[in-house]
Amino acid sequence: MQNSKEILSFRNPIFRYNADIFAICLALSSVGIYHWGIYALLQLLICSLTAVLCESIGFKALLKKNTAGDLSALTTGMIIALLLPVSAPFYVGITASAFAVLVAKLPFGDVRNTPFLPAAAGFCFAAMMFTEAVFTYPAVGSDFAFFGSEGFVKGKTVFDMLSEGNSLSLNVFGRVSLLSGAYPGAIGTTSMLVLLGGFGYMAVRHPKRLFASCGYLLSAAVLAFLFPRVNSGRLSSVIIELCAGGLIFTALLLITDPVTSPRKPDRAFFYGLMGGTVCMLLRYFSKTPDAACFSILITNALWPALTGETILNKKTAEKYKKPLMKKKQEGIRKAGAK
Amino acid sequence: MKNKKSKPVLSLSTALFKGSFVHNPVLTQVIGICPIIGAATTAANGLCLAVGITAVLAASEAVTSLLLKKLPRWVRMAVYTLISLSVVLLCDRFIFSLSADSGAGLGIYFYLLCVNALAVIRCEKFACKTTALNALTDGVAAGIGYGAVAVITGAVRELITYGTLFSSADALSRFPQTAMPFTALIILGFLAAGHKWLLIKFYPDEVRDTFSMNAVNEKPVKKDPGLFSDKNKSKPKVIRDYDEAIRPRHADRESGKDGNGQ
Repeated sequence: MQNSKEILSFRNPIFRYNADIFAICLALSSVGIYHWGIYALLQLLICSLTAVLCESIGFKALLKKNTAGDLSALTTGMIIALLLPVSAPFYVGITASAFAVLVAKLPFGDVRNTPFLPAAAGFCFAAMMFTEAVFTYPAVGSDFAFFGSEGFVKGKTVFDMLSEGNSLSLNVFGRVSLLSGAYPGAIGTTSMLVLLGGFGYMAVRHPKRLFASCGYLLSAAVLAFLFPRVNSGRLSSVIIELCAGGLIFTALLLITDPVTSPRKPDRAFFYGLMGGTVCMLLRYFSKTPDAACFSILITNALWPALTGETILNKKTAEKYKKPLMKKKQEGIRKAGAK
Repeated sequence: MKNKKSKPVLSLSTALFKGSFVHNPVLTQVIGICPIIGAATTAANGLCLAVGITAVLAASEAVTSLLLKKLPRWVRMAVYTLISLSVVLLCDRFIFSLSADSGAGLGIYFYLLCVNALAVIRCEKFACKTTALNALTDGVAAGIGYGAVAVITGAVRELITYGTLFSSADALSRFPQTAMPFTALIILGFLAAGHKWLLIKFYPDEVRDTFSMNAVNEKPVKKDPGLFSDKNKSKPKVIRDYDEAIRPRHADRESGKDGNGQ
């Protein structure tokens, strides 16, 4: 079993990976705080703290070694906060973070055994429970107000315009706005410049992980090119579809998760293709405003069923088998003795 | 003289306990969960489902054991549905006479119990191979197990959604989204995990058999002669044993066998 020093060490691959994700999240957070102000910071702090606290308390209750030090809970909380609008009431983030850790992570052991990505599960739970609060974004430049309060001004997102088939959407926001992130959206999913920087960082640190991202973006781009929802051209359709919602954010931080996605690059690429296709199909045919996180959960469920790959590694399987076999042998011995 | 080895006969209480708890059809085999997910939104609805499924299972298994053993399988399948349908219609009258709200709350899902996979599986797997009393016991036990899960799921959903128990007719919904199917799936997941934990803790000998679903497999499987062997030119293996047909792949993997059960 790992002790606390090993968990916090850069030799621990989980800590190393999560530290890189944390760095990307910090960059995205800084842009979010710049655009949305102090409430974005509060949202980030509350979600992260909730996730870390839930993990610490949960592991203590289960009498297991606390692995909150490997930064997985912290990054889970941060990802959830970055996917939420700044106007979402704080209880939304708390619910999502608590669900991610207590329901999607702890029952399966630790971060190495989760069949579903905890951050995606938490966000989807919040999206199902508080749909309007999660998918209604405030207008840029308006005074801050929580969703549902009097002063709240709803902004028009890229996704709104896509669903209306508005061909002028790209002109309304402008390419500079898309790059800087100064348009209505979630805290951390709008700035394409920082997201592209994140891709560059990942390409240096974890190049193999990006095969899944490539597959995800490629399938989404191809479908957007073949079946455009705007009448301003196919290329415009591709740009708008990729920038809408949290698709690029998902391709950078969620589909690349080393636990739930395949380790081999070719398989990871096909995993990404499947995720992107599911995401676009959900966008075309479902009523869900942003289907990126849902696509991750569906792919998590479908991939093992279709390919026979499971996340249960050999060590874990033996760990579960051993006590069973011991108890069975003891039972047989007792029966023989009688 | 040959010593005839007689199988140990379970007492009624043990058979009921094993059929309802240890071999719970929902938590171990995940069979027939559609009505639980769709209709068990309150404890009362769960109770109605429990009554309906217990009656359906008991009646269809008893009739199968008494009358249908000699019929070919394709005829039996249709007869199971007819028996279940007649029982469901009777139960429907009974439930509506008690409470119209509960009957209305179940909707189409109650009538769909007559085509529930659980009844067909129990009849094919067990009832058509045993005596009527054993079949009746098995049907009641499986029904109690299924019903218990339905009631627990309904009660938890009602508590979260309305904050009440067995009285949701006039209650205001606090979290209407929790009445959606995903909540039932999460609750079922936790129930299955808790059930497995209890089995590992108190009945470790039963765990492997229960989850690998090999308990009734009595036929020894022949060794695979190899891909290029002449023996492979014979007819492909026809799976006649129902357990073998529905055995999950992970059971083979766990026991170190390949896909052919070797």
